[in-house]
Amino acid sequence: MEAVRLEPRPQSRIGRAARWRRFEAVLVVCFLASEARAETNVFPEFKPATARDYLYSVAQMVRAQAGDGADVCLLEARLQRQLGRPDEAERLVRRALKREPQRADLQSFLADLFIREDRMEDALGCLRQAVELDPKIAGSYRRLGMVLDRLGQREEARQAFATAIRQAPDNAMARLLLGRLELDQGHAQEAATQAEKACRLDPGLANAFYVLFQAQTQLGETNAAAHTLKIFQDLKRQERVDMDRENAARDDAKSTRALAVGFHDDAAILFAQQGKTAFAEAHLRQAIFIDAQSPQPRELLATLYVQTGRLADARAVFEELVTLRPKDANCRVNFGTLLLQLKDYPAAITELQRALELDPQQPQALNNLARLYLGAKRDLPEALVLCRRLVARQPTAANYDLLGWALFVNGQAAEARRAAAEAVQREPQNATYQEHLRRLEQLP
Amino acid sequence: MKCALLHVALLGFAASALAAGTTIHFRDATDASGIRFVHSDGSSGHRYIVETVASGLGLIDYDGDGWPDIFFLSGAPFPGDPVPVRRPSCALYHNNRDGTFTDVTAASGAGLTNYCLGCAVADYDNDGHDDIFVTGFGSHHLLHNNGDGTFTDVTIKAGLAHACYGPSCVGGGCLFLDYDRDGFVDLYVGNYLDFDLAAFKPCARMNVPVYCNPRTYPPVPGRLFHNNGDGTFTDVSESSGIGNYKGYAMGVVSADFDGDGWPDIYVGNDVMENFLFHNKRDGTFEEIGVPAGVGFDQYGDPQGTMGANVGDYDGDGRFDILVTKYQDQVNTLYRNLGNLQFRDVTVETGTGADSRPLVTWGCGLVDFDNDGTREIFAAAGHLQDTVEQYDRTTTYLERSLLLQWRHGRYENISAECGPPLTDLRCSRGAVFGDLNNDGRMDIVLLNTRSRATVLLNETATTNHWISLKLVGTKSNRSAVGAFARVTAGGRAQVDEVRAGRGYQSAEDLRLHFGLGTHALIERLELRWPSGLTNVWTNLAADRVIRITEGQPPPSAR
Repeated sequence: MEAVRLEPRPQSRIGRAARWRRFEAVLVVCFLASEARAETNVFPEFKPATARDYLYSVAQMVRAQAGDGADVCLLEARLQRQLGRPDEAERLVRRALKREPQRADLQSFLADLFIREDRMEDALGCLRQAVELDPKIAGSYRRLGMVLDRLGQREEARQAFATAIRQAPDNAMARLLLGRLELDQGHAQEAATQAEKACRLDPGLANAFYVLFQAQTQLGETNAAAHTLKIFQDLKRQERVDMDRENAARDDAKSTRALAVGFHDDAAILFAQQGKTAFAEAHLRQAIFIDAQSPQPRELLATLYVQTGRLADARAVFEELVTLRPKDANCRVNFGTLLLQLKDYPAAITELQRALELDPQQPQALNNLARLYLGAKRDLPEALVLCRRLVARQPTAANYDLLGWALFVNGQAAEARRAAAEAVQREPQNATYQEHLRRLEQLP
Repeated sequence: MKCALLHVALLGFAASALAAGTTIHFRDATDASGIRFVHSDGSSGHRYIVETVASGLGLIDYDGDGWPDIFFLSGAPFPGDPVPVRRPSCALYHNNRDGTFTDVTAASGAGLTNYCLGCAVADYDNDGHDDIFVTGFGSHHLLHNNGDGTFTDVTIKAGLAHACYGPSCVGGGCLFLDYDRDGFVDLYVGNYLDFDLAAFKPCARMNVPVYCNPRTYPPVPGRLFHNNGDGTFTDVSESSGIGNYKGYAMGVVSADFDGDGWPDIYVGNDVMENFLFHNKRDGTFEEIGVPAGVGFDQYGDPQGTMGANVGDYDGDGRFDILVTKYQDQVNTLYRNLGNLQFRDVTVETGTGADSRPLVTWGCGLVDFDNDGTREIFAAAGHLQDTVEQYDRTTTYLERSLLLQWRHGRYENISAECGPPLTDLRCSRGAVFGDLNNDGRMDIVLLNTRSRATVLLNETATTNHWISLKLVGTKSNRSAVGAFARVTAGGRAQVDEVRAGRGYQSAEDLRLHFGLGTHALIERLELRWPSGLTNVWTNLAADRVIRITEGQPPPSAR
């Protein structure tokens, strides 16, 4: 049975965006599920007051249906960790490691458990194995550096941070940690360099500004330090406001529902990976039942339906999603894109236009709407406006190529040639762009 | 790098100059001491946040006999809750000088029955008898020591009736300091938060009842009261600048951090950055916690600071800061670099060892084995009594931590010390002092909802020591803020008299120095708050020396 790829639950805006990018990439139907739809679960009744028992029962069901493989152990271990039972989580991950000893992510998970329990030597052992098994696993070198630092093995920690940065030069956190380490070692200049880069990479990372401020203070750069301190304090003030808002809105029943929803989402992802789409669907439906306001299971369900060719079902889910999140431009773009698939062009145009009202620079909306107009040979001046905005936002070869098309159909051949040439300059090997340029150059 | 190397070198010198550390041993002397105090947090199932932070305790030589007595603080039933037959109250225990204590609460009049949280001890009216200030929930109190074994509540007479601004005021740590060096101790009162019982809403975590996050409630500013010298105080919170800063004050401690002779104030705040109020010598303070490097941890994150204490851990002559914290954070040590700059040295010194799963409270940098280097003690105990139902990484009852400087960093030695250090408790306040005047620093713990613990230091050591009892004449009588530099074996150690520190507690006002193998103090330098400086040489060790400001020096040997 072929697997359906659902992305793990997003941890951040970036995660969500990445998931939707993937969604867009797989708009081509993968396959139709071979399983009967009836093959679903019957879940016990969910009540926030007995959520723990509910989750343990569901975890048992998942094990029975998905097997006792490493991924199932990991899924359950994550749940146990969330329920404050790290000992159980450790037992499960160790079981997973027996089944798949080469899994770096399992070692990494185990290390996280140990870090929280202050078992730094144990964490170090796991992280060393993790980087040996998969030197490129995200975040492992950074965490290895943190653990080494806490254990006082600072030179090794420095090397680990440096490796993390070599692997991902845009990793602001690794640079922040290396900067902190340099500062502790009395290397203020090096600390300032790393912290400055971290600040540039992530201007919202307050801790990076703190390290930079301390480095600048040590270097005697009084004015710069004062400026950095102000940024840090502003960011911290905002953090506090956000924290207070979150605290004021805290609702135990809601949090409990969110935890259960998260587990069902994860279970659905697991089943989808196993190709058991009916189970995946059942878990997502149950997640929606538990928290009707949660967008995440709907996003995953829509993805599942799109990937399994159930576009009409996907449409129904999107209709619910846009009702739940009327101001989510990305959601509307994806809905609009699905409507294009369904050839419901008027509805697609409406959704894409709404997306642009919410985010006038939304690149997928600009792209899809422009292509739709150009393909239908309607609203051509508007298509050109959209293409210009798209290029301003994302000056890629593909977008210049699209702009060339829009300019051409609007009778601006000279400008169209320039745009096409720009596309070729950016991607000289792309035969399509070359062909478009050649055709434009042949025009009188 | 130069800075780090110098740091290591200083500590290396400390270790080589004095005797090697000895295995530290404490005996649980609670039963033998006759202390039967049982703390109450007033809880009756509501889970009011006030319960979690009760209470501190104090060492006070209230009868001036040279033997520290103990003042325990207690919570009380909340309005509307049933009052037990034996109403909880603060308690005063008299030191009988034979290892036992007598409960003198009733006779002394010190048995406050309001909700008590923190205390500070000093002689505010310079009458020769140490007094007690107590913070609480809804009211703060000043207990005047009448000199005859009794105390009188003089809160209103002293002008401190509004030190706690109303029924919803939750007090925090407090301390006496002579911020203007006029010879009378002034009073700093930290306030924790504003807790309106009528507006209380319970909190839960996966349907398990829990105490709410402090940020559920508004922070409040601390208060500074100037001692008028006539038994009354004037609120100078606004004019001093102290009142401009709202926080969640817990442990507070005063020290002359920049060595300018004027006491500064460090305020440990829960769930936000800590404050360092620098004394501008003109009656005003400037808050410099973040620029000084002691507001946040080394990454720029706030801690849930509980206790705060001071000591010169590295022997460089400057006062460093130790803070305790909430779960998933680590005890933190800030090294004083001079010029009001500090560096978080938690990682490189190992100060955070084994503290992450714990909630830690009373703390101190204390030389328990008299080898001339200070150990770190941190009392522990979770504040969520239901924590084990939703988090098995920790427990409600916890082991306190004792860390000793070994192999170039602090190491947790609690396990090798064995019971009673490894016993499980839910502690809050911890105070350090030489209860039996045997030259070894003892510990008294206030354990929430349970009996207090007396840990007598019975470390087998021949290391030498000196204890200084300072008495001000031109300076305030308790000599709060007096600075001592003791040199033995070519190595100098420093300390100051502090009245209010750790977790909302008051420690022995005497200064204790371990001298290692050196039985002779080559030099003793005292700087009094009045500005007077005394230097004496060649003093014999292993005794308590009482030194009165302006008097002839103590006998040489």
